Order: sequence, then C-alpha cells, then structure tokens
Amino acid sequence: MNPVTLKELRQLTRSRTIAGAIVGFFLVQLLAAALVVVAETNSHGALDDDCGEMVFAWLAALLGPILAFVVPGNIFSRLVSEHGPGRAELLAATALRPSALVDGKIRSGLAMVALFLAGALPFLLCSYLLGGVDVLFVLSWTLAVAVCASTAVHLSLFLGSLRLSAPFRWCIWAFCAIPCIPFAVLSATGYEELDWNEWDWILPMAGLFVTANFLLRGLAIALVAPPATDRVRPLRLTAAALWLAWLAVIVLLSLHGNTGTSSVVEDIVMLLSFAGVEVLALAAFDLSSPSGPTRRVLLDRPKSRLRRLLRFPFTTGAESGLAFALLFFGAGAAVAGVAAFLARTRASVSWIDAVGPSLAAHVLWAYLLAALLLARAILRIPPLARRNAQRFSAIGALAIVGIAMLVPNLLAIGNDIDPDLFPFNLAGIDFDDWIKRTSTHPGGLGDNLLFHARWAVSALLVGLLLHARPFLRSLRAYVLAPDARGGAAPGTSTSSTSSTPSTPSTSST
Amino acid sequence: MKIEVQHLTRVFGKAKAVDDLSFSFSSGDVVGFVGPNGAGKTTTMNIMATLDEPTAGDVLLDGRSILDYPDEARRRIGFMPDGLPSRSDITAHEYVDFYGRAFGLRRQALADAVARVEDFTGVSPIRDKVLSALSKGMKQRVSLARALVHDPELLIMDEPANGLDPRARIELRELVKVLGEQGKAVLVSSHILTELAEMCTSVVIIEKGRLLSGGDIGEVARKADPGTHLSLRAAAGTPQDALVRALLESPGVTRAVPRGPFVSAALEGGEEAVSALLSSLFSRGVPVVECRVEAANLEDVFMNVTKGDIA
Repeated sequence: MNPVTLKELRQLTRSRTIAGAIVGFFLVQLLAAALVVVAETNSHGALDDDCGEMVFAWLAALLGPILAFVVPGNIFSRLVSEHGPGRAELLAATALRPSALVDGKIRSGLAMVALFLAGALPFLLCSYLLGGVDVLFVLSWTLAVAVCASTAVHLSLFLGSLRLSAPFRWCIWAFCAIPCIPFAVLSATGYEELDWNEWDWILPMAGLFVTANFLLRGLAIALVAPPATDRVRPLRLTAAALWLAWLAVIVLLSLHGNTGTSSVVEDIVMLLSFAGVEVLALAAFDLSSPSGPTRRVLLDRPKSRLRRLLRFPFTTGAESGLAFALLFFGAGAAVAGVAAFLARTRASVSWIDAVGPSLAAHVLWAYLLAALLLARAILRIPPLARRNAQRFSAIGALAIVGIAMLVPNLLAIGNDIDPDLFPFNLAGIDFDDWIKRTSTHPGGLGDNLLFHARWAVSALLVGLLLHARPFLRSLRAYVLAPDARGGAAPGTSTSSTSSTPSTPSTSST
Repeated sequence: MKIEVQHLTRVFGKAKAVDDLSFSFSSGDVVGFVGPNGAGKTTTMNIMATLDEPTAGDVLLDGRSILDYPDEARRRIGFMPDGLPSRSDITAHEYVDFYGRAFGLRRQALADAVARVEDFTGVSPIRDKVLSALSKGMKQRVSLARALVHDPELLIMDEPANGLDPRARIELRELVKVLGEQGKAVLVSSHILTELAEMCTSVVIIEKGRLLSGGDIGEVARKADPGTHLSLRAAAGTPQDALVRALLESPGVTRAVPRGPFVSAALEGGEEAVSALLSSLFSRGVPVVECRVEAANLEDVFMNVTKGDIA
C-alpha cells in the first residue's frame, strides 16, 4: 500500500474534525429526511407520490457542497500546513517518488469522498424507496457528483502544492472556489433539468474531467518534486498534446455537428472553457516557480539558437511558463472566436450563447493571472525583496485586482443607467442570473462580458508590462547566453555569479 | 564514506547565501557547522540533503555527485531539519513507521528498523503518544529516530539543540557521540558552541556563505589564536587587579581578564613563554599559587574568526 495513503488514512481516522463532520452529516440527513417525510404526509397519513424526489432534493443540496468544498478544503488545508516555501520538505529527502506522494494524497481524498458518499447512500436509496426517483437516476447522479468531487480534490491538491505563501494559496483557492458555487447549487437544484441519456454532453464532460485530473496530477507531481533536470517539460508537452486533441474535437463539432440546435454550440463552448482552466493551472504553477532558468535547464540547452527559442516555452521557470500560458491563452481566445463565428453562420446562435461561458472563464483567469504577475512585481520592490515579503505582496496584489474587478460595478452605483448593464458581478459568478437574462436581455450581458474582458485584458497587460524586464532577461539567458556547462547559471537569479569557479579554498577537516 | 563539498555556491536574487564553500569529512567524524545567523548553514545543509539545488558547485558522496544521483544520495543521508514535528493526529510510532516506509522498508525489515531506532533514541516509552502531546526534547528524539530509520551513513542535523533544556541537550549530545562512534558521519550545526566543542571532532566555521576556518577544533583554535591561554590565581590577600596589571605589563601577554577567582590571560608563544612569564611575575613579587594551561575555547575562536556580518 502507498505509505502516504496509509498515513493519511490513519490521520483521517484519528481526526476529530472528520469524525465530527461525518456524524454531523449523517444526523443532518436524518433530520432533513424526517422533516420532508412529515411535511409530505397528507391528512390521511399517506405519503405523497413525489416524497422521494423531495428527499433526494434535500440530500443533493447537502451532498453537493460538502463534496465540492468541505472535502477538497480539508485536503487543501492539510497540504498547506505540510508544504510551503522555506519549509524543509522532508518527504523530498526520502526515497518516495513525487508521483507516489501525490497519488497517496489523491487516494486519501477519494477515500474521504467515498466515505461521505457511503454516509449518504442509505438516504439516497431511501428516496428511491419512497418513490419519485428511479434507481438509475440516483446512481448516475451520485457518479457524476463523485467525478466532480475527484476533480475538486485534484485541483485542491495542485493549489496546495504551489510554492507560494500559505495565505496566497488560500486566496487562490477561494478564488477558484467562487465559480464552483453556482455549479454546486446547480448540481443540487438543477438535476431535474438534466437529461442523463444525452451522451453527447455526458461524454465530453467526462473527457474534460479526466483530462483535467490528469493535468492537475502532473502539475502537482512537478511541484512537489525536488530540483531536477527539467521537471515540467514532459508536462507541458503533454498539455500541449491534450489541448490540440481537444481543439480537433472542437473543430470537428463546429464543422460537422448538427448546429441547427444550440446543444452542439454549448458542447463547443464547454470544451473551450477547458483551455481557460488549463491556462489558470499552468500560470499559477509557473508563477510560483523561481525566476530564470535553473542551472540544470541551462546545462540541457540545445546548441542551435532557433531550437532554444522554440524550446523556451517548454522549459522550467517562471518566465518560460508565462510564455507557455500566454500562448495557450491567446490560442484559446482565437479558437473561441472561430467557434463563435462558425456557430453564428451555421445556426444563427447569438455570440453570447456561443462564447459566453468560455469568455467568462477566460476573463476570470485573466484577472487571476494579472494578480499573480502583480504579486511578483510587488515582491521585486527593493525593501520588500529584501524582506521576502511574500504574504504582503500576494495579498496586496489580490486586493488591487479585486478592487479592479469591482470598479465597473462601483461606477454604476448612483448612476441613472440601465441596471441590466451591470448584472455580471465578479466576472461571471452569477450564472443563474446570466441564464435568465440572456433570454430576455441578450444585449445587456454581452456588453458587460465585453466590458469585463477589456478590463481584465488591461489588468493583464499592466502585469505583463511589469514583468517584461525579467521575462526578457530570462529569454536572453536561455537563448543567447553562452553554454553554462561547468559553471554557474547565468540566468536572472544567478547572473551575479561568475561562470567559472573561483580558486578553490578547500579546507579538509 | 567520504563527503566532499566542492565550491558550493547558492544565489538568491542578488544575495549569495553560500559562496564557493568547500570542505570535506569522513565516516566517524562529528563535524560542527558554525556561523552567525544568515551565514548560509541551513542553505548548505538543504543542498546536502538534496532539498535545494546549488547555483554552482557540487557535493560528492564517495566521489558520486548528489546532483547526478539524488535518489542514491537520499538513501545514504539522514536529515534532521530545524523544526519539530507537531501534529495531533499521528503518534510517534506511526510517524517513524511512515518514514521507514517512505524509504522502501517493508514488513519485518520495517518493524526491526523502527524498533531499533525507537530503542536507540528512547522513543519506545512514548511511541503511542500523539506528536503534539510531546515535550520539545521528546519531539527532538522522534525527529532523530525519523532521520535514522533507514540507517543512513551521513546524518545532517540543523540546530538540533535549539530550545532544549539542559538535560535534553546532554542526552542529545550523548546520542550524537554514540553515532560518531558507530562510524556515521555527522554534520551538526548549533549556536551553542560549548555543546559542539564537547561532541564534535572537528569544526567548519562560515560567515556570509564563505569558509573562514575548518579542521580539528584544537587546530582551528591554534590557527585563530596561536598563543597560549592561561588561568592564574594569586595567593590570598593579593588584589586581583595587581595580578591583572602585572600580566598586562609583562611582554607577550595580549589579554588579561578577571574570571572569578582566576585571571584569564592570552600569551604569545608556547611553554617557554609561560615559564618566562611566571619567572617575571615572581621576580616582581606577585605571588601566583596556581597556573593552568587552558584548552582551546570554541567560543573565543568563533568570536576571533567571525565578524558578525550576514550575507
């Protein structure tokens, strides 16, 4: 058995918080089911026909948020307390492979998910016995929730592994959790509207979750790995291959799908949102890395400068990672535009229906990318750099970007304008509101999405401008600097070091 | 086993935490790693434990680079960082057992290894207590047991005596001495120099990431201050000031400071200079009734060698 899984399970069984949460969850379910049964009993003492459905609705409303937030939050907090900059990573000094460490954590997280599902299963089956829902529906819903929860576990694990200060990681986790709220609410309330026999959306969705898990696992492994030759290159190549595969699927759907209905368009934009998630993950990962190429990366450079230039976005380092993330970001936006154009020409679907979710995801990630860039820029201010004020710079950057996100809404306060112009709070959180408004006020939301998109891109450009100098220095160090073999790294962080060792001052003891 | 630190350099931004540091030691050596705060001790130890990558230079274990063969190095190195385990959901035994598994030990080999280190470090009586319920001294023992569970040839200890009470320090010192006698190479950093002087066979002194001095403690002391250190006591009734004045007026005496009933003096030269000094004192009517040649004092050496600067 994986030692990490064993340790985590041992800790899990001893944890009062988890034991309390499970007992509490069980009791709340019992109470909810009892209340529904009492409320649904008619004057003759018989149960209504849809009593089971009501019980299921309550259970779904409880289970969705627990699996979306409580379990991943617990995994995240445990990892944050064990892993961080300036803390000796004792496990990295053992014979344990980074993949074993990450897999162990994932398995323990999935065990926790299974534990909560097991706690809910008797009540879910009870809802079937009470009537109103069929067993296949209960099982499919449970499976879907479990898949979503597994991705939330992977995401929490990845965010917890970032080499950033603990408060910064908490802020990013909260940032990522915000868009999950409407999904969690939808999972708990909108299950009735979903058609579980429509495999054309279930399969792409399953594919999205699997590839996202695969990518997040790889990123987490690279993050917990001790310094090595070039730990992210295989990962970036895999990510690029995955992205291209999805791109092919999108293009095929756009060209040959039955775009007479809007469902195919929705599939396309859902797939496009994947690019946004990928950019977020890679950007967060790379911007938590040290600046400049490492010594090992410089030692492994190809001889040709053209090949170095081509390989630069695929090497370890904050700046090269930023180049990679921006390539994906730009490509994602371009594909979204093409898909929207095709959708409009073939199905007369409004552009907001076509690119809305994808654009919303991209806007959100652009804000976060801007915050990460700003945090690095603040940290380079000399007095802060000397003190290594990571927390200050991280929280400061998130506060600045947070205020920037609210500016369009703040500007609307007290002005005599159409309230529909500013319904898009915090860049796409109000999905429920968005769904209603697109049917009644198609123009209003689109305007605001575009406004936020422009705003987010401006924030990103400011961040990029602040980051231009280290980026160019890093690019020069990798592409133009002479071969560093046998000497110190001439990268950004190491440029003050001579490339040849000084006279030995060995002193044998 | 021979450990060679070769031209190690580690740069953080514009600051050089470690600057062309070289030294070496072998199995059976207990080496004190000394330097002021911010001297680069922890950075060097992290690099040696494969937890950080040097900007330049290398560390060789029996001639094999830990950068090129990190997995092999990790199996040969035990690392005890400055920081104690403290969790309320894992017992001391489970903690040590987990690290044994992390080093690939299984079944009987694991059980034997865990039992061995728990007995050696004195963890056995508290093996079923959760870590957060343990005293600092006990946590330090658990940490040592964890570092030793895979029977490493090199043990790296970063500030192990930090925050320990005198009894726990003495017990830790005895454990380290035993490890040295067992043939393990031990590199230990500490600010408590008297402790280091008692457990170490040699010392490496660094400041601003650079090597200032290294070698056998006596040899380092002689290099730092080549004279002789004396403790002298005058006969009862003779004012101590008179002895101090007489010493400072004597040729070759560089320092004379009262310390309790004695006067501590530093003298240039060896035994002949001591003899000449005593003759001079007697001839001037200063009745010295006791004179001892003191062993090298690591604290004095440290103060003489370092300037208190940080990188």
